[in-house]
Amino acid sequence: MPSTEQQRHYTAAEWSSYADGELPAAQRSAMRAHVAECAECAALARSYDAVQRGAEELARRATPPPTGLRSRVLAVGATMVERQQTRWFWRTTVALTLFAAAVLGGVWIALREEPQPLIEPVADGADANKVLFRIEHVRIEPVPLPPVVYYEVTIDNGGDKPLEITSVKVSDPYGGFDHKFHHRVEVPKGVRRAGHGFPAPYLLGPDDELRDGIYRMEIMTNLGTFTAERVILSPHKR
Amino acid sequence: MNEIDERTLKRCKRGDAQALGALYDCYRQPVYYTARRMVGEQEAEDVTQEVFIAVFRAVGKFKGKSKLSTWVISVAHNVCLMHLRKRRSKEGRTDSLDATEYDPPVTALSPSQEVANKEFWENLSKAIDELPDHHRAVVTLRSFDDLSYEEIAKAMKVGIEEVRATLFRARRKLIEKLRKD
Repeated sequence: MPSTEQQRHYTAAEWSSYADGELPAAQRSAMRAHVAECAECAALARSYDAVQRGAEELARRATPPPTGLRSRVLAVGATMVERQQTRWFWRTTVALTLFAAAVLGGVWIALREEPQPLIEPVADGADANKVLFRIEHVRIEPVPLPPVVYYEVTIDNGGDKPLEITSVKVSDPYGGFDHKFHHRVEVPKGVRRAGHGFPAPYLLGPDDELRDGIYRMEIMTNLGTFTAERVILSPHKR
Repeated sequence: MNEIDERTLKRCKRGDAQALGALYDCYRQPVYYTARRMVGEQEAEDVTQEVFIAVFRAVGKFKGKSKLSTWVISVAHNVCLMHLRKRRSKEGRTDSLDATEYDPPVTALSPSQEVANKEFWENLSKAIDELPDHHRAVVTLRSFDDLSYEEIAKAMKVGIEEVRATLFRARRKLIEKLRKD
């Protein structure tokens, strides 16, 4: 006795999917059983199968593309690949160059931030006064807002006389400012002391903008005048 | 459908000319057949070239989410559709590629019509050529026996059920045409 599933007729759409083998195994099996007993469904099944197998056979029998096409396609492909590779080469080169520049720039910035032993030892002062001291560190920094120059001096007085900074003078390499300002710092013997300050904004150049250049700093002490120079970059370029 | 091996695919991605040649050899037949069915004999060669150029250009970005053959056929299908759209726009035709035509009643072929003789192949080939574009596309893709509904759906960027329904409608039309001939 056939089951209910075997008794029902299947739709043409189902036979179409059956021809493709795109149905669940259980349904396929039921349809196979049904088709053995139902002439109407068998005709539909054969038709959809014939059309599908026919299309597959047509694809198999199809004439191959013309032989000349291969060389044409590969010639265009080779040119295109070459162009892509050239583009890739240049893109990589530019990217690596930029990367290297960034690294070198970073290293340079890091190095130029390092304290510079600018005056060591100060020969005149040391010899004349028989004292041993050194200016360890001079820093001249541009500060963007307001546009001023910040300076910092560290003195290690290892001599036997007290040292006193009387004034500091910072000069703009463009002649925009050349200002001496009083800055009294006493450095007793055997003491290390730092002094710092901000020159006023009006000391800057006519455009009120710090420019790249070598800024000179003169440090006047009771034991003599010492000079330091430092290359600084405009804050707008840092 | 044949597939190129992983090593050749990697070489293709690096632009190795020999590997690209192997890729062409592996897929030229289905691509050319798709082009011939979709755009006709005259333009099939140009379209095949266009397909392979597109494949060579994009193979470096192929992620392997589908079989390479499915992806190549998908490119071929898209290039063919673009070509048909251009052609229609040149001809000033406004009919949509997805226009639905009259669905014939469900019928079966007579046993004599199923005989695989020369006439049958000619009639079937002609009938496929006369199908609407989207029906022709799905029948053509399905005629590569390894392409499942899922792969056809991926290639055509439609759902599996749409593939199933379109194939059925296309075949119903083919059967009707073959019955008349």
